[in-house]
Amino acid sequence: MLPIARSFLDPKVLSRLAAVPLLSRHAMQGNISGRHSSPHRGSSVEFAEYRKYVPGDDLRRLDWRAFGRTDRYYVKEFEADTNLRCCVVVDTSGSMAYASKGNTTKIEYSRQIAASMSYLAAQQGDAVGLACVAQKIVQNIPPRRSAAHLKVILDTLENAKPSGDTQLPAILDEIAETIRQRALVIIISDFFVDPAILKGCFEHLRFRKHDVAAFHLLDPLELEFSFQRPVRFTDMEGGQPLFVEPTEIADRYHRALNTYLTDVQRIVLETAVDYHRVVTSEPYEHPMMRFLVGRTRGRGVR
Amino acid sequence: MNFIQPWILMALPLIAVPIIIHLVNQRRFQTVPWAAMMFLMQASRMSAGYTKLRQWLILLMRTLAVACLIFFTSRPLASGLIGLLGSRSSEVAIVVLDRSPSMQETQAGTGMTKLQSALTQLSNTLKTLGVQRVVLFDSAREKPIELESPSSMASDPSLVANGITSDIPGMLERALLYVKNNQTGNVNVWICSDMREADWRSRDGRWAANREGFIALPQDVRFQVLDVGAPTKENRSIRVSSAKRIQGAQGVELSLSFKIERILGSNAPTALQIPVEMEVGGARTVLNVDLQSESAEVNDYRIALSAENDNASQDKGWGLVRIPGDTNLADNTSYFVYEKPAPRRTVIVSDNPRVIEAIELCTNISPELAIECQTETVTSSQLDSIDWNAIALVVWHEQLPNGRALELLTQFITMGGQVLLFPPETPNDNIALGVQWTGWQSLDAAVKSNTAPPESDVSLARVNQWRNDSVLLGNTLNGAPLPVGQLGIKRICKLQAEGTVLAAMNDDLPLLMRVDAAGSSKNGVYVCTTTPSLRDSTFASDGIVMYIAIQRVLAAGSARIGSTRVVTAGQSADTTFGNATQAAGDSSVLSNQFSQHPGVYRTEELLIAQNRLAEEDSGKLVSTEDLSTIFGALNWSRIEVGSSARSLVQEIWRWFLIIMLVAMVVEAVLCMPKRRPVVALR
Repeated sequence: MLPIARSFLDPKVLSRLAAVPLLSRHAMQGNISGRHSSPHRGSSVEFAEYRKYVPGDDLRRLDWRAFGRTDRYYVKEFEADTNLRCCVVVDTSGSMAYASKGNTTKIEYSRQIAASMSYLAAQQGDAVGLACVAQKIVQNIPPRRSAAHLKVILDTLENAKPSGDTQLPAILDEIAETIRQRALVIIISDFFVDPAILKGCFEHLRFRKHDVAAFHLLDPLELEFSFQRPVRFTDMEGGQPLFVEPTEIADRYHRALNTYLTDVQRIVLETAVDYHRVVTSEPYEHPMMRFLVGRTRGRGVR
Repeated sequence: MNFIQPWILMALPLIAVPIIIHLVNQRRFQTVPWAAMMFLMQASRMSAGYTKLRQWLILLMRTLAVACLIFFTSRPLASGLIGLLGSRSSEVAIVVLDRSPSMQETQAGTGMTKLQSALTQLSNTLKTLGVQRVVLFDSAREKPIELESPSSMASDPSLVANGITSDIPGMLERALLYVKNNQTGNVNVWICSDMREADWRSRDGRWAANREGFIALPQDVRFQVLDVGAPTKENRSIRVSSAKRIQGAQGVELSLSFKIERILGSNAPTALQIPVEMEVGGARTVLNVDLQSESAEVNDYRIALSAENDNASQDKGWGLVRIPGDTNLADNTSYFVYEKPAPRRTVIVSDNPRVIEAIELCTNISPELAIECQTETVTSSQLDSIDWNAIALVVWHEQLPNGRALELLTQFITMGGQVLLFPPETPNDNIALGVQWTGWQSLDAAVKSNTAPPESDVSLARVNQWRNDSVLLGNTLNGAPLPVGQLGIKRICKLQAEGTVLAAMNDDLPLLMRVDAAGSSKNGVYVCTTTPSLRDSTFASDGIVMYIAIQRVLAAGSARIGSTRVVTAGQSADTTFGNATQAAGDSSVLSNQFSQHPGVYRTEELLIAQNRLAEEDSGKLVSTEDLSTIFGALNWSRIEVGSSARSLVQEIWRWFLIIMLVAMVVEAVLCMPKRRPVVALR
């Protein structure tokens, strides 16, 4: 049993996920050596380029063979590997408490993804932070590399309670400004906000050179909307209730949903967000595996 | 539209069930916490468009399906006047059936006769209406036929057409009696006819009695006149008007007169030649008759009764005339018989023969050489010695008979003999044959005729009115009226009698009457209220009228003498045909129905030619105005029956079933979940 055992952490899932490294899609500016590419030259085993020797360079890096062939001084440079700062943003607004019959609540699903992601990052020596957001940033734990820090994050996740309405765009903008260095920002939310506004947030994060990943959680019933009898829908984020005849409104609901999803899809492509649409009926291992495997393909991009 | 089981319509409020369920369903909502409110908000702001319409359509289809279910279980009938019967159909239907020869006319398209078509349709209709028992009146039977089910009506062999002209007022009279004597409840009376005036007799006095009788009934009686008198394509008929055996220049000949009539159809040629086939004693002769207009007549066509024939067949025989087949086969043949004319014997019963000696002159002078006339004058005490079977006419100029004399005279009348009563000089109070003399009255100048000729004696009373459609005083063959108006009357003997006035000075002073004696108005009992004596009238001096009238009554009386008869179908007693065999005619006719069908029949004593009534050949129809008059305030309707064999009433529950199924299918299609757009999950 893990010392950090929680109900939302499954050791078997973690052991399977640990087989795939958590990589960033962009170069990270860590302060220690790690598994992630850095924008700077370093001392890894991966050759980068030759550069003319300039006074002050370390003579140990002179390539004497090149000098022998060309009678000129060249310095051999290598890629630098560094660690990353992983910032997990979990939406804890009221809507995240929703779960249709037989499915996991979105907040529980978020916990599972966020905890697993934190564990994986911590395991490979990356700094992990957590931000629980609703109307504002409810909990903010800056990224740190210490082993004890993971426990703090897991405790925070465990205690997170969904409530209040969503002010995700404003909070994302705030987070974009708050994180000082390049980081992997993983946002776990249902993203029930206007896609146009969401686009601005993503662009802001990308502008700050963060590697943005988004887990878009949707309940199966939200996609199907398979109600038969008249229903009085109460807003989980405190808005006005709405009485509808599902058979009458279903078509229009699906039209609105499709438009929204299409817009989101277009926005994440435009803003290069690593977007994963997740239906809460599937095991959380699957979207996480897709996320991790997808990142291994982009290895080497700096 | 009406229903056979209208009480099921009480379930019609059930059509509100889908609406109620819809409203209840609206109330029974569930409350669900929902995250994706933004989509619901957006959806509610969008135009409902077809979705709202679809919901209403679904509700409509459900309501329609329930309504159709109720309608089709209540067994709706097709619209129309006849449909009104549906809601009040009784288990018993009274059918008045016209089986006259004109009902044998074939209808275009089906090949069925009007009678067959009417019976089939009526049978289907009554079956559809749930009628259990049919009481059928026709012209051939005095009593009604009771059928256990309507379906047996179309196949009943006794309901084929016959040669009897229907007496629809008479049949309704019997129907009225039936309704009165039986607890029938509400009654539907179905009259199937081709609307011929000959059958309907719209001027018949019995209509008024029938009308009042039906109105007085406590129950509701509805009349349905099923008119099968569809327009005739073209029909021709032939009728023998006379067939006489005469002694011609070439020997014994048959003088045949016949008339061809036709009812023109819309596309019928105006002129055509018709081959008339005449069959006498097995020999056939064909004569082409040009038919230029609506009728053609052939008079005194001679056919030699050939020398090869034995004397017996020359003296007596039968024959027929026939024209080619057309739409109605029943009027294409006419039968006749002939024989050597029997002497016309008259018996004058008078206590003062001199008064009526002019009558004796009239009865003795034969109108034709071949006819022998004999007159015998007797007193009432000598009546027992008379051979009544050989007598054509009895002229009675004595006190009205009683006792044995009355008995003999009544029997004579019943056998078809003719009686002419003249008043005695001093009438007593005797009542006989429905007549009682009440005393002589001199006629003064107050009873003068405007039609009296200026040169005549103005002091004589004149005959002001007479029936020129009667046998005695009818017009001559060339259409000229008899000079009845020239007769002068000095005195008359007043009388009390029931009958038809044939001639009169005014309404109170009848001169000649046909008396309803021996229980029938058709017997040949005539009463003259004056005598031919010069003291009483100018009958003797203006003798033309008297001679013609006497000869006519003699001719009528002599028709029963001899061994041949020409009769009209349905007007002879069945006993006449007791042991008859058929010599000519429809061989499928049963022997007990000989009196109903045209043909030649032979009994031990008689050779009888039986034909349809002359009015059958007339295409005259009873008009709608006449029908309105006939039925008056009675509840009636007229339904024109087509030529198809389908029912007059169509049960249309199948349509409601189809509509219900369609409504259910449409509802199912509308309720079918739409194919939702596939949401890309990745």
